[in-house]
Amino acid sequence: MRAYPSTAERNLVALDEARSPAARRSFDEIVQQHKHRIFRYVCRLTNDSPDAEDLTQEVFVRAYQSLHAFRHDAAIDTWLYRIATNLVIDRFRRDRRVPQRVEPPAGEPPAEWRVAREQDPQAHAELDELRRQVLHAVASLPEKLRCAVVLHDLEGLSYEEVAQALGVPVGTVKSRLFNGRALLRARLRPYLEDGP
Amino acid sequence: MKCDVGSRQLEQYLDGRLAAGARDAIEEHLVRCAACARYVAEARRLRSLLATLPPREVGADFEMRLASRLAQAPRASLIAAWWQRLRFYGAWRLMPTMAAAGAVVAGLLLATFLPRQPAAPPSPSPAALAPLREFVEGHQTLAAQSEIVERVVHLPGLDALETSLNVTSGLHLTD
Repeated sequence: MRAYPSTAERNLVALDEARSPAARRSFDEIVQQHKHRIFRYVCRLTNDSPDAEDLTQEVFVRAYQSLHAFRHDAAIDTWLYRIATNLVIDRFRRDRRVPQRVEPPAGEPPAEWRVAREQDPQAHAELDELRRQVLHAVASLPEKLRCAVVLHDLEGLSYEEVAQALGVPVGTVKSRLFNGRALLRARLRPYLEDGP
Repeated sequence: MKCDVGSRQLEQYLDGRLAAGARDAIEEHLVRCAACARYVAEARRLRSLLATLPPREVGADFEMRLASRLAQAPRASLIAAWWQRLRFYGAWRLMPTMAAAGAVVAGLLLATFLPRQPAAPPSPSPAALAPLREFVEGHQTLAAQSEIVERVVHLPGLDALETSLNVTSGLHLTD
């Protein structure tokens, strides 16, 4: 679990009043620290949409524009998750569609994956297929359930942090998690049962 | 699930949200209950499947592109910032406060603008009422006398008596 608020976060908010270059440097530190995490969250929500990186940029732009709305009593990544959630859901509603893309994004996979693929191509193909099914199952969840499942089960946030990121009570988070997992279990049933 | 342990409780157990006593009880139960043990095993496999999803990282030029966007991005207005803060910290948490504040404002408005009932006059003292009592009693006496006169005027035969008196005396009673 991360520490919060970090010194950089405190400096950022304190310095934002003056909109100084130091505040900008602190914001750059925040970007550096959270960019991959927020991007991964956006990817999970949008099923690896080609727009995921642009959406992630938009998250940080909005955060920068409204730094003075941030308070110390929440971790800044929870705040970023909140901005990302609102942004992605707004985008879904605007586009009136659920993203269907399931292919892995372009770019080179990590080195250890390339080694594994070369050593056992069949096992790697099976793993790719499994991941595709899991991604599809997650992407097919209703958006509210998907946000809760991704934040808790994939991003590792606590119930309380998920509640703050989604702006709902903890009881609602538990309920959404339960329902989301039940749907995932139903959709991934063949992969969950005991083997012969 | 056909036992007393519900699947929600099992999910809380898997999430590490149960206290030590409840957790031990679930673990003892799982030894005896095949259905719950199967549920937990599948739930753990689901978590393993989710963990197989590959990591994602932004491209190398992410920060450079972001810097370019930030240089052009205007700061949000204070109102927009406060609205975002309200959304982030959850309007649901503010609802009781807002409802209470609304009730207070509504009460103040009602107290200010509703027409007021006139205040009840203070009860006069008996001494202050004495002249008024005398006045009323005096008028009651006059009213009784007037009633007697009315009755006499309307007695039967009074007109004939008046005529005969007028003839005898040459005077008119009414003069």
